[in-house]
Amino acid sequence: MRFRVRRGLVAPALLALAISQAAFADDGISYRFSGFGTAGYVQTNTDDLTFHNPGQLKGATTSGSGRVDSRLGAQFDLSLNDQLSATVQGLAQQNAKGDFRPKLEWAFVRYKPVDGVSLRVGRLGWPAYLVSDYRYVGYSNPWLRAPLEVYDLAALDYFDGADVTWTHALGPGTLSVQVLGGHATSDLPNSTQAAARLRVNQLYGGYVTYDIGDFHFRGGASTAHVDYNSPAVNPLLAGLQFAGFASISQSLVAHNKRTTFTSFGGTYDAHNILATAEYGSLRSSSFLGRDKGWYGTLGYHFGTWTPYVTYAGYNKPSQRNNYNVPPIGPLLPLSAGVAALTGSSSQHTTSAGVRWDVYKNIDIKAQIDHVLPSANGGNFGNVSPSYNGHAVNVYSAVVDFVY
Amino acid sequence: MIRTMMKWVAVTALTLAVAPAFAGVAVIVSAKSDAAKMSKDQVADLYLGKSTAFPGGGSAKLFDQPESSAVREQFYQKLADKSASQVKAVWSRLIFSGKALPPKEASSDAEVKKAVASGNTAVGYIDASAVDATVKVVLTLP
Repeated sequence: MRFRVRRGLVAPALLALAISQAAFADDGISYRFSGFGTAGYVQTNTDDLTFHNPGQLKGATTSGSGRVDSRLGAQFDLSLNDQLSATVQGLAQQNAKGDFRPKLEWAFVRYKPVDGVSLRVGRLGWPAYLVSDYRYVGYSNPWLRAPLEVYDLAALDYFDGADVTWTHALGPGTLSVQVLGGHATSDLPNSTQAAARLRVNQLYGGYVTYDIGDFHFRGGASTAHVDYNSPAVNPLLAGLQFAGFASISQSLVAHNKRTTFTSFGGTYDAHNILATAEYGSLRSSSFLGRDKGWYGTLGYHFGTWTPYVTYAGYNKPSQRNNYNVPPIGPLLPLSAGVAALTGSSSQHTTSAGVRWDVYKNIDIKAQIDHVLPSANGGNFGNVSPSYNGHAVNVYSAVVDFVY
Repeated sequence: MIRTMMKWVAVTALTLAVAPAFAGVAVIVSAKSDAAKMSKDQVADLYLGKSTAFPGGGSAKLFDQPESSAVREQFYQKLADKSASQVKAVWSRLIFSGKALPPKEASSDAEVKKAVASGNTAVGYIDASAVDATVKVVLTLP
């Protein structure tokens, strides 16, 4: 039997629904569905290495890819009253296994006991970067993608835990102090079934934001015990142990090793000028070593067109002197492995791009990156043995939308 | 000849009358509200999501005009020197970080007035020529 509704019943039912929702609104309960997405295409001028975003398995070469920058997100916000609200956000983008399985990015309850204090519990965005909170919302960002020289230093999107934010007027601006604690697990790019996983335990962090006029500044640090469990590294560490280099193996292994990430940056956006710069530094007492990255972006709004340029750099100094495995006879592969793991790495990128606000909630962006990676391939993946450190051009175009 | 001129004058007058006569944008609260005046920075902080504090206590309930309306473009341009799409980008950052919900959209000056008049901590903006006794002007953007 099919269920039928007589036409005459529908209108009153809808009216009743509308009235009940209006009543909800009066009680202070409100909710909102929002969504965002990007359809992107990227291509490079070489097959020697692969361009991808942090944590992705598949990327682009001279054969372009729509799997690097394309993504879809949805968010539901429920506000019960001025004190209590909840937010859930899901995101689908190419992940460490190379598929688009949706992930829960955030899911938290927020409680504001008094004005200026906010307490959140649940799955929260890790707020280390200037655009951490909306990194994947292309529409919210000036660039086609956040500069990888900084955003690939510590590729952790969210953690499970709690944070407290205290906001107060300070001088002519607004100061906000956030402290957080929790833990996180995220997959590392790997096509095999073996568990390639990054575990971040006992994560603690503190961040300070200062808003003054059209300036926005943010900085802070997070520290945690990090486990980096990857089939790409494990055999080498086991081999070192076996060959009698246990102390080197112990020193390199990222097993519950103290890792600290410090970052600060600022933006200015007014009078049609857009300027933003950021610096990040990772220090780990393991093979992850010490990485530093930074970038600066300048843009100008010509009506609906915003051309911009970015210069970004990343540098990881060599630690080879600390880990000497003699390159002789049967030790040759181990020695080469340690040298590769502890060698220096760098990348410098000059980017030029343009954002066009084509419709009220849609933008189109195009960007060209001229990248100079070190001979080990910098932030690129699948580096071919024949790669000699030549420059790589990356050509990208995206359509971003929010609703 | 005279007739043609008269016709011209009439047409011109009619066009002028129909074209929106911008007397500026008035930022309004309920006539019953205790709030007296607000500074441009205070209003900008509210409408760009930097603050939710209603003058005199409580959290402000904001109302926006429709996205395509001229008064909305004027308001953000005069308030913060930002285009409607720049403001949209600002709010998309706040929304997708779960920090704030954007102002509610009302369909016209009359709808904004109605919503603001009945809400104790409601704030809205309308064409200054549409102001009446149900609301109180806390800031005028010329």
